[in-house]
Amino acid sequence: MEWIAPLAEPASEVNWDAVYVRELPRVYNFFRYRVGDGAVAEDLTSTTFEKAWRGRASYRHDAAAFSTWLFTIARNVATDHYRRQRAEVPIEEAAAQPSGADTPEQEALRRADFERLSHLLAELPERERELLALRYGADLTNRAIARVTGLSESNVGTILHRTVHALRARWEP
Amino acid sequence: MNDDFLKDFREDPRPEFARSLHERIDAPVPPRRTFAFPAWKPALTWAGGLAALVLLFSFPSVRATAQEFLDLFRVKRFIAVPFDPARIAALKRDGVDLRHLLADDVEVLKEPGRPRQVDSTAEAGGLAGIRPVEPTAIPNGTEAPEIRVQGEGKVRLTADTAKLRMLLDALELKDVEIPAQLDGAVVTIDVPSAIVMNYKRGGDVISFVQARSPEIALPEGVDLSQLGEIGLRIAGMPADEAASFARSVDWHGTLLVPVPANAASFREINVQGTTGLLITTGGTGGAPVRSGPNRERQRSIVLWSEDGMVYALSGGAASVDLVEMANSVQ
Repeated sequence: MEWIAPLAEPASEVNWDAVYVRELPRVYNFFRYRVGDGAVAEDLTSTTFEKAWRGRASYRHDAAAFSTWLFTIARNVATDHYRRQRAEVPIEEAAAQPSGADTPEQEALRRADFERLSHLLAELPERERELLALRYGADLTNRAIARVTGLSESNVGTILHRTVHALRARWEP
Repeated sequence: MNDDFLKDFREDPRPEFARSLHERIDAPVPPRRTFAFPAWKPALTWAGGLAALVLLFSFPSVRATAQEFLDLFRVKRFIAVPFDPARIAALKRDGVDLRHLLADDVEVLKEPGRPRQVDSTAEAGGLAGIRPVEPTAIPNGTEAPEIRVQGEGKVRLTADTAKLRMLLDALELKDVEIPAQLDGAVVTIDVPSAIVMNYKRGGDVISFVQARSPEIALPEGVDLSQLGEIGLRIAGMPADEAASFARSVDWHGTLLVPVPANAASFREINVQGTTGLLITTGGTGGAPVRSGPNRERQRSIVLWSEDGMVYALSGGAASVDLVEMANSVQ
């Protein structure tokens, strides 16, 4: 049915298992940087994937568009979380689970550092913290962040540069 | 820019969490619900192609909203049909009256009246006689909706195929046959009351419309497939493809949605387990560019139908937001 070609894109079907393996750590880390470590990050990750998976058939030929959509959902999930909580995640949760790769001493040090970083991130304005979470938690490029947020790519770069510069000054006084 | 200190804290999710989440979301999707056509009224049928033609060109209140593909458009399934706007413009220049293509004389049996603003969805549901639903996932920065109820409208028209023949001739579609039974056929179109919820967001508005599917009553013997094929040919589909396509479509439950071929993209989407239609203009389907010289006014519409209701979400939002909203309706 070539005549209605837009309905029948020639691209092959997306491998959803591969998408899950690729996107799960990115979404999970987005939430770790956005709301803090621990069970809350897992809960919000679950919510995001449950919503996204329900509508994934819409993107059966376009994994890139799905990724943008996934992080759009993740942003909304984070916003809803803050709307409900109106408070930061208790820092006590930050040491909830060991990552398993380091010695106990290294792990403790790493947790303490992330706890400290979380405190600094929590003091940032919403937009700046969200951009940092997308860039450094989800490991998205500035271009991908621009697609997700609606900001221009150059604007994303400028805000990130300014925010990281200020944050580093506080991280390494 | 030294940003290493920010990169060092990424870590993999716990394997047991990853595994349990994957199992949960990968559970089989419930089978798609099917909808039985009301067999108790053999003369009452849902006509896809004819509905598009009749409703677009003959019913004033629908004409007013046709540009948004919205409002009272119907049935169990929507299929986009690209058309060449230049082709329609040329017909108008040639004096072809597209508004009264099937009938000059349209009798209004029930005037829908002006939309009535209400304070709550419950009140709207009471007025419209339906159980109202609404999206629960709303994009950031969206205000509470303004809710209106459009009254029921009903018209009756008597088809006159002479003008349709003229149109086909003007398009040089001389091979297209018009069913003889159509000439003089009395067609009744009943468009139920609809709830329209307008969500303001910055300078844009996202509209959510819900209504029962309209009823189009046709005399027995009118070949719906043949009418649908005529609609496809008028839109510009080649004869062999139109015939093949017409045979593959359930014309009792499919509405063709005309989409300007040069100004919009469309695709089928899954909305809560049913097949919906996403149409996007002015962008590529991602987040719209909201500032700067490349600012573009992306508009999208999501159409779907479920359990005898038709739904439409449209507005100047990213299509991903609209699809998410559509999937959150409850």
